[in-house]
Amino acid sequence: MSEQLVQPDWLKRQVARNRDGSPWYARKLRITTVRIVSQAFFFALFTFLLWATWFSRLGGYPVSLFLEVDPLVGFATALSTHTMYRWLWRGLFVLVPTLLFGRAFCNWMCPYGTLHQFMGFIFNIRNNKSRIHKNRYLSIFQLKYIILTVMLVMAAFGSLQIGLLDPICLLVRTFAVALAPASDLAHVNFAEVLRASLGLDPEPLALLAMKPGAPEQRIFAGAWFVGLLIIGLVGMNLVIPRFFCRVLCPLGAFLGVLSRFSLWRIDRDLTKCTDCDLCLRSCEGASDPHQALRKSECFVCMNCIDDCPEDALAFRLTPLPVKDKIVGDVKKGLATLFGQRVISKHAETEIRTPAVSKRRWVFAGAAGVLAYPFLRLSKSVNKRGFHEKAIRPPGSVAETEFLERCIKCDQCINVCPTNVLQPATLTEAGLEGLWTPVMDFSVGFCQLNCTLCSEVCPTGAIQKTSLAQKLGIGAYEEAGPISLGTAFFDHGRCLPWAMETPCVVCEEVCPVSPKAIGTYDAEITRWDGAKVTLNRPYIRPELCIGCGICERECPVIDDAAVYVTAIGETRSQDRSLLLETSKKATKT
Amino acid sequence: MAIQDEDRLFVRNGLRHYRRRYSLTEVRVGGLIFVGLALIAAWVAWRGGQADPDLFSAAPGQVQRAVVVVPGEAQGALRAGPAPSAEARASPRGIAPEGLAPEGWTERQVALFGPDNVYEKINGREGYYKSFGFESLTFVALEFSADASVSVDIELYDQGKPENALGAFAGELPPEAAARAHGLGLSYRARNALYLTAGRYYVRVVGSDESKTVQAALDHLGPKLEGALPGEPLPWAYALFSGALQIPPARVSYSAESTFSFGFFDAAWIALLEDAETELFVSRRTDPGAAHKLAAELERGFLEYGEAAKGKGGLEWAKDRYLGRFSAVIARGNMVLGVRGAKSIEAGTAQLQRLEGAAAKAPAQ
Amino acid sequence: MKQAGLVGGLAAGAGWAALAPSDWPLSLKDPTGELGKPKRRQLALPEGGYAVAPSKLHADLGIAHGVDMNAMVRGAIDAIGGIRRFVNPGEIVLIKPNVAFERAAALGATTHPEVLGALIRVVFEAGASEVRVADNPIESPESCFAKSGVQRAAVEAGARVYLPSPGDFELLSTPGAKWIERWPFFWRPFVGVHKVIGVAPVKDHNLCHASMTTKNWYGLLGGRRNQFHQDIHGIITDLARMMRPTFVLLDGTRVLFRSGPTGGSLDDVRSGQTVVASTNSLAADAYGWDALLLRKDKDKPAYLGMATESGLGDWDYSKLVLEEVQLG
Repeated sequence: MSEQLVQPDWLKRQVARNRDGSPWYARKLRITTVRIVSQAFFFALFTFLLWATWFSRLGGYPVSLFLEVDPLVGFATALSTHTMYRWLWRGLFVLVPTLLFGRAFCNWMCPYGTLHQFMGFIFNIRNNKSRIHKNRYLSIFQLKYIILTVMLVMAAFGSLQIGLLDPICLLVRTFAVALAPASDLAHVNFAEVLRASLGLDPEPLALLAMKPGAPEQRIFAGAWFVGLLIIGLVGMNLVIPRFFCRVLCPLGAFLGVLSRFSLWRIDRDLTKCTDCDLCLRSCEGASDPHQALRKSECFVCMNCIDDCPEDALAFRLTPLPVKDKIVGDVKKGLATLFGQRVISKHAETEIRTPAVSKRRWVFAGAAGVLAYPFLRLSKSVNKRGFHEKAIRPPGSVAETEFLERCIKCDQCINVCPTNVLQPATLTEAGLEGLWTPVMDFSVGFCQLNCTLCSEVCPTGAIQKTSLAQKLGIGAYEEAGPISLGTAFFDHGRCLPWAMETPCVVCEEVCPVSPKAIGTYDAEITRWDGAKVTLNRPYIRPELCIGCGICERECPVIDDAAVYVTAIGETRSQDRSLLLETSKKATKT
Repeated sequence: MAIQDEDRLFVRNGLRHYRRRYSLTEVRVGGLIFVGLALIAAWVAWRGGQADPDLFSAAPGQVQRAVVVVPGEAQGALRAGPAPSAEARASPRGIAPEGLAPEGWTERQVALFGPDNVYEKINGREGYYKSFGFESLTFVALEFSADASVSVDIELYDQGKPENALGAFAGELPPEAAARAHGLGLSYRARNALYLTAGRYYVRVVGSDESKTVQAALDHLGPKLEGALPGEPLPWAYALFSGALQIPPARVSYSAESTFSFGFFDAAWIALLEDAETELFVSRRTDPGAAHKLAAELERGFLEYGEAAKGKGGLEWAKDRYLGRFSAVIARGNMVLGVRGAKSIEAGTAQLQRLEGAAAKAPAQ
Repeated sequence: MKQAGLVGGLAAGAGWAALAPSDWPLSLKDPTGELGKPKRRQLALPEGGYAVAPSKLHADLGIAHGVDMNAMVRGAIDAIGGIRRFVNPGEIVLIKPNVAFERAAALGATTHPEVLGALIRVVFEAGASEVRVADNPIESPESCFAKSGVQRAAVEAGARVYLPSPGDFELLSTPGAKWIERWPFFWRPFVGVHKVIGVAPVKDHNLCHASMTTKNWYGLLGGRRNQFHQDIHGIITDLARMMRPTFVLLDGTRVLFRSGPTGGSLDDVRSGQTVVASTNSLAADAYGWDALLLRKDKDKPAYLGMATESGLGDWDYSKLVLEEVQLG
């Protein structure tokens, strides 16, 4: 009717019926399109939640949602602590679908997987022959199971290391430590160009700032390494597509082991398959859909269905093992299945379990058993000889429990408004505590009325702490405030002590009331013989909460004359300084 | 079979695919998935509105206490009690009543301190009393005649006004301590100590130990001090909250100005209930007209932070849009009575009725 | 041939850039290395600051007592001539509160949000086209503005809040200043501003003894502020030289009488029930010292005397006209 008048040709092509007679939207909205929408959605949600991890945006957003639904986080912390903290039960939202559909998480939800796939899509241009070649299974793909086993064994002993490579932890950490500061650096310069050169108001761009309202650019210890790591891992896509997902990912391995039970899987119809191998063209997981599907490797991306010119592949509920039903010799092409001729030369249709030999599982377990004491017996994580700057955020549990819980996701670092929380380097926390949060008071300080890090911590390494608890008021009066450490003066560097110069910024900024830093008047005869009165500061350790604002604001900025160390922290008896009773008595 | 045509080898269009059949099932499954994604997005957006107020407040506990009242400032709502007589001021005995020592005890030392030298006696603590309008301290040390190591120290603080004495008293009690009203003030008995107020005076009696001897001495001193110190009736608000409603005095506070951040609301007495959220408040105005006007203003004020909900008897409750808690206010005579932050309308109504009942019996000023 | 031309052209261009004297166009020559050093532009506040013409008709110090903050702000400003004396229709006005710490307003460490809100509304009534609120706090700016209630009060009153970000600071030159002749200054909110009003709480301060309206300008500076304490009185004198405001408001609704400037406990705060307005921030501070901090018997902070000697005003308010109003 009237449609001929208005429909342009391109639109007609877009909405024309398909060749098989199905309506046009069956082509447009086929399952791979749905998958891409899902990936885009979860990637956007992930980015949004990280963007919202900031004082003025936080509201009630579940900003650590992706870490909470990561079943490896829940499982590994359950192994190490025998408990399931706060929201970690949300891991069921991924676990149950995996038991039904296999590793669908990897190609439908995982933001890191999406990143790798997208980067490969943009940068890894190959012809079909080469793509098929690159998507065949390699024995190096076993490595992730070894990594998983080592990490889980260590977790069972109480050293949680999954965060080093868990994709969600890794991506959140990379965002917090490397990407967000980089983005803000670009943002500030761009705004400067707009304002200075073009005379425009850059205010509307504030939405693009990751950490608005901070007077200084955020900096992080070891950002270079975290940043180079993601460049390297993304770059590896050019060598082996989805390198991280196929070779390293412990979460993928965990879901891969689970997916042996999955009810649905990709099924190949032997009576249609011509062994053309085109299904490998876009196979994300290198799961061999052209022969026996490796269930533990399949990402359920459904690309093989799209690429099969014979329509031999489909995603089916509990496909029957057909090998026994085949009559005749498959290799010679004479066999039949239920009366239909079998065309494919490969009769196997699935391999349920990861292709890791028993002895390798055992080796990995043994490696984990040994790795635990190797790491734990390093000096930095014990009660003797710990590093004086291993200062944990307020609300943290005692160090050994902390290492059972911290997944190095660095969400606390991401939300910290003052930049004081830093990923630990090997110096402060050894390999076992690498990238766990520590406070560096030369960069920032722990703000008195702030408990944001305890809110975003997904595993309870920093327990959810109310403000009253942190300050030791109301119901927590008896327990007293949470102390992170104790401040000390270096009289050799302090201006009033060593250089006859007035200062006491430390006393001014000390946030507790009454102040933990006091001053007394000292009348001295100066070098020139003049009598001058100096305010000399001292510490009252029973009042000090180790917030470090004195160290941050000390004008001797390179090696502050007042500095906080971990001694005197309230989270454990091991590192207390004063006798408990004397501390209480002097306070009242 | 090997790869056949060239366009399968040389990819002209990276996005092309090779399947021939499409299925409406996929579209249906896709539709379901989209609904699921939309639900996730909606949930996240909803959660975003459920902020934990503790994260964004600046220590509510720090600002729960009464605003300190210092002398020399115009505080229309508060009156001074009877001042010590001239000779009491001059005598080194100060305001300490004669014959304090029970049988078997002797007075070892009596001393009077003013604001300038009080630090000699209570070095470090004097700031606390000064912040409550400290005027003088009379110190009496009692000693058990049979054993000099058993003693009781009596510190009598003249704080200038009953409200100050009560403020200093409330600040030193454990938060949940329920004090007893004795007509002229409140008193609280700990195991080896006794704290009481009478009019403008605040008295601390601290024993050296928890022995029976000390307990007996405290039993004797309590009524003695209550009877002997000059006083006036307990401020009406304490009589109302701590006397009639049995709310620990540490939970009662006076707000001189900008109560609940409303610039127009001043001179209010507030009692925080046990759930640490619900507050009862009363304020006395000059006449019923002013009380009605203030109640109407407050009702509007509460509604600015939430929406209206009808309660029993047609009373307008305001549901706070951030905390989800209920507030309402009524005027009775020249008094404004209200509940702020109640869990539900029912709970709030019950509290308001209790308050109204107690206020009806309150002594008129 | 074509390539030879290209090579020749490139060689000639490179030669010119490297060898031509440095004042010739397109020359990159820098024999001493001086030209290659980064140049930071230096800005200056307008001559005479943001002050309006002095007037003999009005009081120098407007002092309002009462409990209604709104009324006190109006009363104090009306006593020194009313807002229309200071703000003309269409002007952009910057208000500098003290939001240095993330404390609740009742704790007295920050400007009371209600005083600020009242001030913004008053300024808008005079026809200001835009009101900006800016401060560079010690603690993290977002938390300070939110938890002190200043953010909400400012936004509800229609003002625009400026939080500092790394690109917002420029070198400000203050001729005659002892220490901060050139110092990084929170410049972005000042672009296009016509009038500047300071509104500061009354706070105890260990080193400089009292932090009021003059010390308030500290929050406009960036850079290494923690060096200032080596001569805090000299610095505050410099601050008085740097900023000549339209007028200042001393928010004496609460007095942080000890544990300043951070506070943190209600025991450190008492009610002051006063708002003071003045074009002379030194006199306002001296009044606050005597009447709000109640330290009349003690020596005035040294910076008041130093600033007075430098001719930046006169703290001695006994020589000035005071108008005191009691409201409610």
